[in-house]
Amino acid sequence: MDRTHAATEITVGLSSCGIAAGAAEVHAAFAREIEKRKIPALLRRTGCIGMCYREPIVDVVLPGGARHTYGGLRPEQVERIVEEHVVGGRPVAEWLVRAEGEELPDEAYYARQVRLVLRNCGVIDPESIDEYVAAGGYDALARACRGMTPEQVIAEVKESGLRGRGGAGFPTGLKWELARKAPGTKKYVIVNADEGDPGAFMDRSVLEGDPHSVLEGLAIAAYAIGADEGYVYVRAEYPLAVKRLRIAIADAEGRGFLGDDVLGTGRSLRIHVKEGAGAFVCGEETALMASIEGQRGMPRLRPPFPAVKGLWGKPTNINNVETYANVPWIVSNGARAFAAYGTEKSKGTKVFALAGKISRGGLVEVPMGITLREVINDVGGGVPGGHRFKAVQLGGPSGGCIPEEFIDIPVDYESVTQTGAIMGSGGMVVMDDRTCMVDIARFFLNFTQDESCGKCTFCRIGTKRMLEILNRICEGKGVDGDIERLEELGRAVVTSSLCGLGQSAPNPVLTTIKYFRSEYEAHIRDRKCPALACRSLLTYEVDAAKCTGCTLCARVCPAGAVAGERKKPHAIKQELCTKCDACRQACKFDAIVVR
Amino acid sequence: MTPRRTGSNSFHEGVRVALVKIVLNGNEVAVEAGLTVLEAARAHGVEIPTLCHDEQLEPFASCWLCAVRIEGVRRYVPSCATRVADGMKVWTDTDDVRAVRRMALELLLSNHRGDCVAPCQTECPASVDVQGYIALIAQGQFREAAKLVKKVNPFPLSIGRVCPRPCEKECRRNAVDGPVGIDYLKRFAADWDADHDTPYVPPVAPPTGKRAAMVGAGPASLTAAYYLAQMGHEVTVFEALPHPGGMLRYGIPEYRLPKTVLDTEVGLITALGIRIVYGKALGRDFTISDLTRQGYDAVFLGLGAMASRKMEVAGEDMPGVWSGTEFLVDVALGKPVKVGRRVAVVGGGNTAIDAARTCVRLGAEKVTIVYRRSRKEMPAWDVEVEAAEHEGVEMHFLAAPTAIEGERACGLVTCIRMELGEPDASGRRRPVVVKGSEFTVEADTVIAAIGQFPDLSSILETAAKNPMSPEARIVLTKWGTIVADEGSCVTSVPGVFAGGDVVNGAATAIEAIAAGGRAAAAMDRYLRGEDVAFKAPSFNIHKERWDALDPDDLALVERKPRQPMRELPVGERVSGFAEVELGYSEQQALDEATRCLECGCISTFECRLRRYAAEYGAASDAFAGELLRAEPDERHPFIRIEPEKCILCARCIRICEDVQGASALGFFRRGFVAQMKPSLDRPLAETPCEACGQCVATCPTAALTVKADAPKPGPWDLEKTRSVCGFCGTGCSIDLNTIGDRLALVTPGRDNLCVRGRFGFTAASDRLVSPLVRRGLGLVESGWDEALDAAARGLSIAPPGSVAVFGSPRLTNEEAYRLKQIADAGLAGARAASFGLSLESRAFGALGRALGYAASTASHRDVEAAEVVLLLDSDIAEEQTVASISVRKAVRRGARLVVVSETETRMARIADTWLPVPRTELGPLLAAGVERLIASGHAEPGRLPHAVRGLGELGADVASLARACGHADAAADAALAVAGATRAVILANALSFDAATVERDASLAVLLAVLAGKAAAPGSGVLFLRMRANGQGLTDLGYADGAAELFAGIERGEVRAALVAGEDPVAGASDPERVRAALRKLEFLAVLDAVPSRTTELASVVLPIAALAEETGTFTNSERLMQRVRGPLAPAAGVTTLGVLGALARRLGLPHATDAADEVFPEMVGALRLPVCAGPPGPDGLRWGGESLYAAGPATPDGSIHLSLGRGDPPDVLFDPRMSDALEVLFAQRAENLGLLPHVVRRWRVSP
Repeated sequence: MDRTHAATEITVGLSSCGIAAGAAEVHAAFAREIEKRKIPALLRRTGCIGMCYREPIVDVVLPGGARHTYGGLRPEQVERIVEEHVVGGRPVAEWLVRAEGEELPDEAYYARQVRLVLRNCGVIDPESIDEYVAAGGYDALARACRGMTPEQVIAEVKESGLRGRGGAGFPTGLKWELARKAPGTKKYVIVNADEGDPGAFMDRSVLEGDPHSVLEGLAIAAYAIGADEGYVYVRAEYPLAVKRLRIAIADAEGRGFLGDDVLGTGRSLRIHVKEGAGAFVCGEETALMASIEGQRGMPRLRPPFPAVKGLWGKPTNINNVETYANVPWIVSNGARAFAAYGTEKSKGTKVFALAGKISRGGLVEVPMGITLREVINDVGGGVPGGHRFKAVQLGGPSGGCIPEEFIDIPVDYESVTQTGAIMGSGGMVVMDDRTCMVDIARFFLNFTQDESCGKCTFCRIGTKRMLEILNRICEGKGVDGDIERLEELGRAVVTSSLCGLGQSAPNPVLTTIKYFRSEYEAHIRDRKCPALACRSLLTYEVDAAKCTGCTLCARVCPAGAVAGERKKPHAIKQELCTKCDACRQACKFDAIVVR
Repeated sequence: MTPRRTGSNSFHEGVRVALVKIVLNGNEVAVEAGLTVLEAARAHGVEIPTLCHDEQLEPFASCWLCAVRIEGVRRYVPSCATRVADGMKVWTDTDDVRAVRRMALELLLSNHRGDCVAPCQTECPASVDVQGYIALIAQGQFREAAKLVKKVNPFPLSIGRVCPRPCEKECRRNAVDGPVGIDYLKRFAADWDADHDTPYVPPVAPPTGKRAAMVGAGPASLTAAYYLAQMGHEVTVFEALPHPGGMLRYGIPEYRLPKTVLDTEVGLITALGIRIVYGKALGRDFTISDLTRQGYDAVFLGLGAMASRKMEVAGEDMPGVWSGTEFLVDVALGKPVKVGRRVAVVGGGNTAIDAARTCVRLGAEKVTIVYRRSRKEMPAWDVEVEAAEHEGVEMHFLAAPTAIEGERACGLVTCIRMELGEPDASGRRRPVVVKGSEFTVEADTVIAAIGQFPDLSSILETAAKNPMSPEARIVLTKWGTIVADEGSCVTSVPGVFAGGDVVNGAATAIEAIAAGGRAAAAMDRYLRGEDVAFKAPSFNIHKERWDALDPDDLALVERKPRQPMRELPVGERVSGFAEVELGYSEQQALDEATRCLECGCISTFECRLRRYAAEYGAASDAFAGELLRAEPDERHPFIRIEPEKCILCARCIRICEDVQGASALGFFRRGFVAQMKPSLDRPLAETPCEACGQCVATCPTAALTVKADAPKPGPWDLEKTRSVCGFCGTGCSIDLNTIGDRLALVTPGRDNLCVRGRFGFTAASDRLVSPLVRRGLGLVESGWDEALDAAARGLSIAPPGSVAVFGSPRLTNEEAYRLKQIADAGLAGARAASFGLSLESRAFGALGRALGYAASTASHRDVEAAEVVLLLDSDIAEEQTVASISVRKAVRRGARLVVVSETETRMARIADTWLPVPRTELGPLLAAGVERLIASGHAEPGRLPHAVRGLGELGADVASLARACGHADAAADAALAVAGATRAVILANALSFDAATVERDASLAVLLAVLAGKAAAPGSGVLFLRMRANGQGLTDLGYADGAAELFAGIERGEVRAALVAGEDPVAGASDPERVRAALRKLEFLAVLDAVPSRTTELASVVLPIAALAEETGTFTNSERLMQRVRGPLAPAAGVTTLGVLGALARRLGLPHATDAADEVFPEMVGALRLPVCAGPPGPDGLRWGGESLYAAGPATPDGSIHLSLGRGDPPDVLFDPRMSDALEVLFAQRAENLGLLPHVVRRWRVSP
């Protein structure tokens, strides 16, 4: 690595999440401060460090010193850090979240993680091919195309046990082998970077933080199957990822890692970046290829599979970002080293976007086989605010909700699937006792319904009818038979849709009915939302014993629904109450009771 | 744009087909590998439903109707997109699979808004197709309207007068300005039919040998009799009273339904051979067992409900007190009925009103109706109540009689006041007595019309006498009606059916008619030994009722009040029994018919969604929820888009892009709100829409429909006649869809049509309907004999050799043959030619000189299967759209397409190589290609399969031409590609060549094909497309060339008389004035045409001929395929074209000329000096010369190929080969309609 410790290094995490939290301003503040004081410090940028709950994050490393990490920085704090830490050599202890050699609470966030995919994220400058190469980048590509036959590469990947990280978990080596064996001289490789799950952002983070690792994995795959052209299909909503990808491709071509003569082998590999317009369904591989071809992004029936008949009818290998990012590590470190992580059938690690009712949300990479409890409690720090863990949603909008009773299952493809959820691309949303499971099912179905391409009858209309029923239930207008109808429709949509979107769209509904049926029944029969989340079903009342008659609630009520004499208990007129919650928030005596 | 290439799995020619074994519903079958499961199942007679699949298109798999279960697969599988695999076990019709399909249908229906049939029809007990008959009235087809009504109701004369019109209560026009006069219109159509020559009597099927007995001659019995007789059963009706009609006769007074009208109606029913035996009553004269003994196989009991309910008051049996029915029957029978001065009628139904109004007419001074509820609750028909009030009838509401008093006869009725209490079972509020409110009404006649019930005493008596009799086994209700199944009218006794009032209790005539219809269907099944209880699956979806509609839905409907019924003035009415309502006039009916809102779906008879919904028992409201709302889009001149009926199968989008290459339609948005819309959301007419109508043809619902060329579009169950399009030489199969004597629609017979075939036909207002002869300066109408004599005489005045005959390349082969015969024999060697062929024949001449026949050697199938297509493109995508589809198919299969064209045509855009060369430089380009073939040794002896003559003489010309080519390398490359392919086709039409050099350039194209070894090789060849429907036929008959020469002869005065059949050379010429001047020089000019033209203006005699939909015969297309032309309509002038030509031929000394096309066909074939197989053309036509024309070598006299570049003398007057003439259309062009699409009219412009 081309870094000396002669100067102080200040590294700002400038991924989209960091920038959104104000990292660019912090970066600018450091630049100003360094300029003002004429300090010989090196101001660096890097990608996502993973601790999203702490953004913006800045590392300060004094020459020859330890790494100190600050979290949640604002520009006005920069002056003091420079003053005390950079100049004075004394870290500002109260703002530190992590320090080499010290046991700060956030250390637990990293303790259980194994960072293979994210090995360079938050470490190197993603726009510098030199830093990537210095970190051992493109060694794997060189090793593959100079020292191994394509078959040997495929054998290595097969032996590693790597499975597709896009969700379905198809063995990657086998996929490559099918594409390799498919007849034809023209073949394609494609990176599926159309990350569409709301709440999942690992692909973006990898592309923003370490784009070369994906390109290197792609180049190895191209060598293995015999492709000379590739596409990175990436969401146009990821401008930073697109920008860094383009820089990386240009740089890699400049260095001979890509382009006309890859590493002097005489093989060529042209990589195009195709920006998708943000249709969730384009994450489905056949729709993705249609989109690249200029058609409307609509899935078609498989078989034929892309490995046989893919882009423009040619054999094509499609993997997602995380899958490709694993490949250089495997080739460099060997299949066995990779397979040492994980369970019998699920090898290596998995990156999760940990979100929801969790203390430490962010991007985490854990070995397969770790239990959900460990991820949620040890890495994520558990449910905050004294609330009770209720369920965890795995697999994004097409996934399922796993209840507390299964929190000790290991994270691997088979175990997760058995619960009715799916591994998916790695969204992990934690829910506590304030989350209504009907409402959450409605939320996810609303998303998939909107994103259905509209082709299959069941997916287009069936999910709409399911959503209407869920809306009805949440509004307190559910009727007997609604649950059965949801199950009937859900099963039909699953069994009679062409692509993964439709086949999995009912999962959140079906799993919540399976594990939280009583919650649905409460909505329908008792017109009650046990989690007190569905507004139409709430009743606001005044606890006369606690009410002091201060009149505050009556004054804040926008609907004029609260009335009462001064110093006497007030009352809420139910027919006027809009359940806006203003009275409860205003009351200083906890006298407003919500049921 | 890069064309999308997909391998076709449907093309197996020349490939040995591999078989795989699959297990289909438990049976092992061998199927072709590569087929889809759907195709494989169909091949074994197992139908799988589908909405989104079209055989012309790649599988799409969106509707899920074709779902099947495959063992070992977890999910259901769309069979349209799944290929068979060895050992696959498929289940296509299990309960679970059917449930998936039903749910798919129900989901689609939950977002499908419309009315399969209009609410008027659904509300009608007999389900009369109201919208259909109103639409027929709107276009003046009154008899057809009556005929349509009589499909389910044989009593339109009566029902048109007496029906309580439940239909009109549901009419959506109620929300605008009052219901359509549905019943008045029905009466109008029925009156018109009865009053105009032969009223409609339906055909009767051959006798079945089965006999049915109907008991009672009321509407139920006679209806059942009417339909049973049509099905071929022998029917006898037994009636106790002396006249037919039942309650129509006895329950309805003369002034509402005159007995003469009823007699006419019954007469039209018995005209089917139904016998009515009067004076025979069940129980009194015969029993059911007697009927069985007499050989009747089935019995229908239509006994009616003639018994009156008693008032149950004191004095009821006193003289002067009548029951309503008794009173009306006696009046109807003409008995001397006397009524008093003051009459009290008790009751609020129609019988009460009828009795009251009858009493007015019988001279009563004061008639009072006493009814126990209020006016609102009266069951009588509103209009009737009003009429009674107008006629002075008084009403006492909320009153009931308690006693009738009088000396000897009645005189005073005591009544008591009532008030309305709680609603009763019928939903009406129950009248309650107001105590002490008695009052009296003076009345010397009291008529009690408070209800009727069936008189079943006859059945009960027989039953009592013989407990084993059928009568004893008939189950009755506690209300004294017969128990019968509603759907089939089956009683508890097999073979005995019952319907009408005897089952329903007193109800309306239309309900009895409906029951009669259902009974007839069930009895027919019974007589044939089938399951009587069968119920045909049916399905209808409906919009909201009119009073629940969004007011915006009808906001734009023009307000137009209902046509009033003409009535007899009140003064004239009460003095007698003359009919009060006088019926609509024709104009009133036409006006009223236009008020119909056309609620019912135009595709109701074809809709696949409806058909499957019925078949799978889908419910329209199973998944009711939000509907996607959008207004119909009527902006395109021919095509209507109804987004609310779209099921998003994308067939239209795909056919437009993949087959037509227009991409005028696309998807919009995602999820539930995804929609099909014209590209970029513009009006369809502003997209690249070709108006070919393929989208309409493939639409499985009514999301895309054809806008009607009529005041009201129907829908009707149209009669289809398969014929051939009359425009270009592609010879597309068309279906002429007719209703009555009108053409409603042209639809594709097999695959495709272009805008001309689909929308280019319409009725013309200016048809020639009688012959014209010149008198002085003008043409005047004349009789046929006079005109034909004049024509024969006029053509004969000039000496042989100075007469010319011109025929349109749109005459049928039979007509062209007869015309040629007239020229050859009738006019002693007159020469026959065709203006329309003058350019084209020079191109085809190149083929004729070289190979023997002036005909193309390749077919469209060859194009589709070719590896290389060299297209000399005059924009065939515009000129011969459907022919261009085969090129498109070839490209999709992976063929190499080389296009030579001046502009970037649509074909150029999908070509692998486009050579932008103007027509004037085509010769040098082809010459350069030929040069390269010679240079690379293709002309060397032994390389060509046949002997070739003339090449040496050509060498220098070709070489010098080639030097002028600016694209020599590309030309050479194209020529070598043609030579190198196993299958290659050179494709062109007359407009591909420059008029000045057409002969030379076409010859070069043939030369290139010859040297490339592709001129006559199987699967390869030269395909010159004919510009007009029967250009090939006329060529085959010897009309080849010479129009220009003959025209020169006319100009020089050598040709003195001419006969022009179906052509308008003045309009089609580059210099119309010169042609007009030349024709004026003729001493005699006879013109045969369907409409007046610029040429008929100059004629000495004009003879009207038929148009396409009136023709019978054959056309020969560009591929030498003789195809049948059939016209379902009668010729406008009453004579077919062949008839006119035959009559002329007979006058010119050809006595054996017949007028029947079928008889002329063999004669015509015999006259052709061509290799034609024997026998008439089958459904796919008859290709003369077979698939490969020169399989046995060239047809030149010496058997070798003759190469030359032709004479090359260009004509100085040009006739456009696309020259339009009236024969190309059914009646005349609707060019003005086609002009509504600017880019379509562009290609219609006749260029000089």
